[in-house]
Amino acid sequence: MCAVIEEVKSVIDELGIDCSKMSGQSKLGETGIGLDSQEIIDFTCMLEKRFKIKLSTSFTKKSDIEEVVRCIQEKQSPRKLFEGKIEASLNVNCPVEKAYQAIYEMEKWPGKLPHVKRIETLYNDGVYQEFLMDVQSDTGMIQVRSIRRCLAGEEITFFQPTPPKFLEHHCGGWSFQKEGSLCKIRTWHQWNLKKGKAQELFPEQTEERVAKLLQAHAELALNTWKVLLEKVL
Amino acid sequence: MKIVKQLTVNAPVGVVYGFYADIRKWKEVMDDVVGVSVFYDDGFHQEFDMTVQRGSGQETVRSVRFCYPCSSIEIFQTKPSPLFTSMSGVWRFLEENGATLIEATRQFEVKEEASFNMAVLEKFLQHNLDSFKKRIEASCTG
Repeated sequence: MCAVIEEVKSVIDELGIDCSKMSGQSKLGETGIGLDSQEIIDFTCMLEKRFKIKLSTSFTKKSDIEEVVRCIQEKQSPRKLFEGKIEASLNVNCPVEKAYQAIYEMEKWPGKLPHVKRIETLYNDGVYQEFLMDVQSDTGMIQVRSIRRCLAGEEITFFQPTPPKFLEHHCGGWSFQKEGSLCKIRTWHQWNLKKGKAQELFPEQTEERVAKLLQAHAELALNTWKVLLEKVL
Repeated sequence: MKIVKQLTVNAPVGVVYGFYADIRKWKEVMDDVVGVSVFYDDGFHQEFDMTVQRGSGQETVRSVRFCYPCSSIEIFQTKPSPLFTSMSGVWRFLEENGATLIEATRQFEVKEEASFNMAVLEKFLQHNLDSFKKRIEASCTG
């Protein structure tokens, strides 16, 4: 419930609505969160995209957050969501298409991103990609295999079939949204810990340390892309 | 090239999706599946090898799936069958009065069109739908 409600809050936040006082009993309409009918439709679409589900229910102004969470949980697979999730976003002064293209064209990264030394494309049909990436890290050169699904101008999601040794699973994505003359780039990571290895590497506050590490990684990536995308305007 | 097949299964969409999403169950459902080796499965993304019986021989293909609970499963093959240069597709699950309409689509490029028989591929896809229907409806009736 907690993980889902935090995600729902994040979606409401994306609509530009303050949900700091929101509770499970808060109604979606004017007497609660304050969404109008069109915003409830937008909210439903955003939930479907965020949770990767199809909500057959139509929410109304009288629907409360508990009902929303219940509907999401009913539609989710029996497996729970990931143990950890972080996200970061940034407005970049460039068109959406340009931001998408830069992150889509991984072959060009070694010429743009100093820590990416080599890309080997294993598969690319324009929507799905599989590639190897040699990355210079603090601990030396590492190789990452990434599999991605690219929806032109909208979203790129990925997973790492062989995640870092302290993670059991690792996936995430990028989304691109027009905000006036800017492009809002959002990135997120989701993971399940490989308990033993994670505790060995981060003996104290294991979950928080991993979240901090991936948060820093996401923010660094966003800031790097912002500089690159704005430099060549 | 593209083929599309549809079939209605008398079971809730969550049950139908669950059978398709659990790749380890495929061997129980499809009589031509010899084995499945799962490399990665976080519930939403999967990478696996599937070995199937084709005539007197066996074929192993490597697939990746992006799973959207109760909505759709997208698939592409990083190592397709020798006949194809590429193979991808999607199963969509649509709720219809308590039953589920499955729409299965396959998009592909063949290596040599002369030796390719579309009817055979259509038969495999229909067999997939029929096998799951039979297995799921049997599980729902007890």
